[in-house]
Amino acid sequence: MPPHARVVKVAVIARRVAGLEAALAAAGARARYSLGANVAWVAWPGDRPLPQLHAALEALELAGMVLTGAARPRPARPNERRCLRHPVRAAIDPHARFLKV
Amino acid sequence: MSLAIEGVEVLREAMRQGPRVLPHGAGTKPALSTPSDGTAPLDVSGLSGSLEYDPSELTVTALAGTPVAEFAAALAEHGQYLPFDPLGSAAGATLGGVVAAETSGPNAFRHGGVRDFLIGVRFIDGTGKLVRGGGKVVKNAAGIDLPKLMIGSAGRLGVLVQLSFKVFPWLDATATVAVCRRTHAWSRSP
Repeated sequence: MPPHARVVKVAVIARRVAGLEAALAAAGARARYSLGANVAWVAWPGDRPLPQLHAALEALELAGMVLTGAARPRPARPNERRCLRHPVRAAIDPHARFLKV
Repeated sequence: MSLAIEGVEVLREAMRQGPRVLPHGAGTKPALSTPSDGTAPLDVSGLSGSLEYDPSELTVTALAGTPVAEFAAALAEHGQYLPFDPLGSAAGATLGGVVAAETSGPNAFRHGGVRDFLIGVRFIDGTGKLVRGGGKVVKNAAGIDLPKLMIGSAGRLGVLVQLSFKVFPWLDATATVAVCRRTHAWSRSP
């Protein structure tokens, strides 16, 4: 992601992708898409005012959410899946008739 | 149906007395269904057929070895379908394999995956008991959510016998959208 860019999460539908791409390209912004192009993660240039993006999205009948704050690593947690594995197997496969999970 | 019940009894006996097993249906996902040394393959493809289907309720119950294509054809007769695009139907994939491998197609992005449509399950556990979880209706909150446990279990937690799904009415119209876009250098970062 370009430095100083702001991250904006946009709910999108497939038929709006082309229009969104054109609007972002005109502003020098970029996007990644996830969930089958149902979500766009826009990197909006830091030197561009956010209302400009808002207007572009509004014209496409879309809405976005600006993500703010610093990213922090996830706190370490015990592996919940591993903690559950033993009691589940003990209950339904006590004689090890199946391969290990 | 009587054949299926006999099949279940055979499976239960195999679980009580047999060696370590790895169940499989049509074998369309050999990476998951090929047994290693000391493990016996357990063919459950004979457990095939729909048991209950009420189109007005949008729910259907079928045996785990039922081919997805056969299942989909039965739904299509009533203008209904499985929205998560189960993969491998043309190759003969079975409903049990789809659940055990948790395979969904592109429509899962829109409608949800296997876990969002499986509402009930019956399976044989490692002691040969026939275990029931969930139900045959959409609104069912009784007991532990065993259907979720079996999704993606790859035959490691039980032998799937019977599955209940909720289904959707077929869409009035569909369209495919292809978007060609340039690739940015920053989007290729690992």
